Amino acid sequence: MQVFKTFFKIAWSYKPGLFLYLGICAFMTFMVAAQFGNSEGEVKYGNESYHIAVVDKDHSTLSNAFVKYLKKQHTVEEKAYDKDLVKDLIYYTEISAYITIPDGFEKNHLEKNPLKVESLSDSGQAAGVFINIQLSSYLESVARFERAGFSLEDAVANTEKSVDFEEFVEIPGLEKENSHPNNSISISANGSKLYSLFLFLPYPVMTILLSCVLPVILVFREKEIRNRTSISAVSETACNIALAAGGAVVSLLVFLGLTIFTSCFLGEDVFHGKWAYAVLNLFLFTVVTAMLLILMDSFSFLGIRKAMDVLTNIIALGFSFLGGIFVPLSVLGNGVKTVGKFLPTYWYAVSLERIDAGKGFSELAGCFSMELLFGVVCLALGLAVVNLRKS
Amino acid sequence: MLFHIFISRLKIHIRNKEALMWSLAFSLVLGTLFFVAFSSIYKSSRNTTIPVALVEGEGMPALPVEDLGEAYDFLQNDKYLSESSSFSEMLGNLTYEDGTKILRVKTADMEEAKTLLEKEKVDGIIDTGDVTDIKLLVKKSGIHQSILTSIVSTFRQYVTMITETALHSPQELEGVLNDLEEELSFVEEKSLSGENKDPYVAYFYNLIAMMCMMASMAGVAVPIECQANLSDVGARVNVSPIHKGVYEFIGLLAALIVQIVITMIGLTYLIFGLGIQFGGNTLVIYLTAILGTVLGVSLGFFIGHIGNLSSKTKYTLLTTVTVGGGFLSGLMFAQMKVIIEKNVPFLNRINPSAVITDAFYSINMFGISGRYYRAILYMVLLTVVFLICGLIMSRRKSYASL
Repeated sequence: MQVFKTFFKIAWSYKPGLFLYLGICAFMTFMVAAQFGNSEGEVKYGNESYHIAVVDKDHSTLSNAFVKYLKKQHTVEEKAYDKDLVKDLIYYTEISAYITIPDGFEKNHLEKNPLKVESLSDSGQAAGVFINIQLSSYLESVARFERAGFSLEDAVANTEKSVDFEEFVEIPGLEKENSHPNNSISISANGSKLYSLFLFLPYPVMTILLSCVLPVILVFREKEIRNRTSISAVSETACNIALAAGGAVVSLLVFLGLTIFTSCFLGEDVFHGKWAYAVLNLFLFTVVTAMLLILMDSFSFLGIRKAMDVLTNIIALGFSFLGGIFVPLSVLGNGVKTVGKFLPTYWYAVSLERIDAGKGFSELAGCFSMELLFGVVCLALGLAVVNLRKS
Repeated sequence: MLFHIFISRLKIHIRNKEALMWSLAFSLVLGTLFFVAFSSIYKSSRNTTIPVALVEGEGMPALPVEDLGEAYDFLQNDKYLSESSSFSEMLGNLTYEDGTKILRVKTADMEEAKTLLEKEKVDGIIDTGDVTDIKLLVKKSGIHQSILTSIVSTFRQYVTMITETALHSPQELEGVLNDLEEELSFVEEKSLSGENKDPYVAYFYNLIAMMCMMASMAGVAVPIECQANLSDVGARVNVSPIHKGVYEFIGLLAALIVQIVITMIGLTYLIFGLGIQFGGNTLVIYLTAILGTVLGVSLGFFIGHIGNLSSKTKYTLLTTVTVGGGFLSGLMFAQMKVIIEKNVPFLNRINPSAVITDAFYSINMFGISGRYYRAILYMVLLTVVFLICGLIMSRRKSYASL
């Protein structure tokens, strides 16, 4: 019990790390929740929806119709930015295109002396090409209808009728699949809210346990403290059990805290089947991370305590990027996915995708097993290293 | 004497093998992991040719032929829509700005086309069986399917225009048909300038920024080892005749040299080992990384002097600043930096990681321009502020007993 109590005393001294990573987690949760709250555009089947910025300097019937059309296709932000920031926004894929409708657009259009709409995008990317085709196609169509003798209103109406892809895009009885914009580096908003909110939770679980639990265990492995413990009334086994219990309690608290906090943003989606599976998935991941700590603990003789910050970053960031936590799995290349299959984060992300798609336990069991397998391997390796050192 | 202290401090840093090894491991391991994860994403999202199946046929028009009159004849005999070879050829001739073909067309019957679609050999089927109602069949949503939708939509617009005119203003039909021959342009397409437009390179900018910020761990050790209440070495320094400010300056210089070497090794590995294209002049990139390391060490120097905090608290504070700063500059999500720029730009000016990241980004996207000089100015300003504040806080410290 003494060791158990001491564990928490030392763990509490690592509270800045706990609050730092909880703060990062909270920030990310708010961002994801805000993405869903502000989403104007609807991702329609058969067509990809992007985030674009439009500056309408004309505010005419034609420009309004044009903006309305764009709003139907994409998530449109009607805001002007300075030149540098526009470039930043496109580079970081915060927006896919920045469209400017010039002042006098309709007037010149009616006078058969049209002004051009300016579209800034990364034209080397398919997204930029797609948006530019859409823009050209719409404006060209309106102009041609007008030339054919239709009024502006009729030209707009006919154009909208012809570009309504639901009229001509067919799905030959095949299953709908989730997809993500190819070049997006954003937090995914293409899955459900439950999927997006639970997707990045492995990162705070790993960072908190690695930066707040592992250092405490490593304190007890220091030569001087280990020697003192070995001549005390507390046996080595009792000490290890107390440390394991302390680690388990902190892990459980972290899991519960993150689950409750994330669930607060889910509204009525809580306590449903998908939510229960997502929580189970997170629980398994927490258990696996706790097992990873045992493996790392076995390497305490390498002096890893001094490098905890570096190790935490390498493991948490590496696992997250390779496992599809920060970048959607659909975007990662096949080579990365092959490497990712050896990591619990990959199976966590795959499980979550399946949960989001409404799959049952039988289809999730395989992914859960793979997650646990990683933990079991870590545990076995950790114990083997300890035994090897003892012998 | 000063040289002797400098050499001693240098030896202290060099003999701290664990710190050196982990600092290097951070850049080498994480750089490799980033490389594995991101190297192919941008290439795969660049303009690629879309495989598509074209189904030709003699389907019935959806609209009554007698109402369409001349328009139907036009559509049936149109060089684009009726002669599938020409239509196929025209689709095949569509190109991106860089000359890459947009479509690779395979003419097939519907059964074969559906098999190809199911096997994902093609991204969609364009069915021109009924020229008045061209259809697109896709299996899933995605950018390729979206581009196909836009292309088919353009052809449908032509068809709608002809049929609507034929039905409502037949007298205009000839003019419309002539008009279709004319090419119109209403969009001025501007492309993003810059050397390497791969947004995933931003993660490498953040990695270098993090390497520079980790140099602050060496920087914080300098004042800690000069404060008698925090270390034995500090107690000895305080009773020695050397001026504390001079001792700290020399210590800082020694730490800086070692950290610069570590940053250079990491950067060299990224540029020449992994072949990361940072964009811009390589020499300027190296000089910027050196300046970033100076900023990192000075940040550590500043935090090392804050109040009477224990050394553990100072290290924790430094970790919070570096990891938190890394998060805000986009180490976990590259977009974070631009989100901050949109909403709280001031934070990007005072966050050392964001300032360093911005300098690398500026070299790539803007070249050696005003934007780059602004980033450098902020780096220099922050360095000077940290050093001056550190020096001010180091003054007039005395101990009742040692």
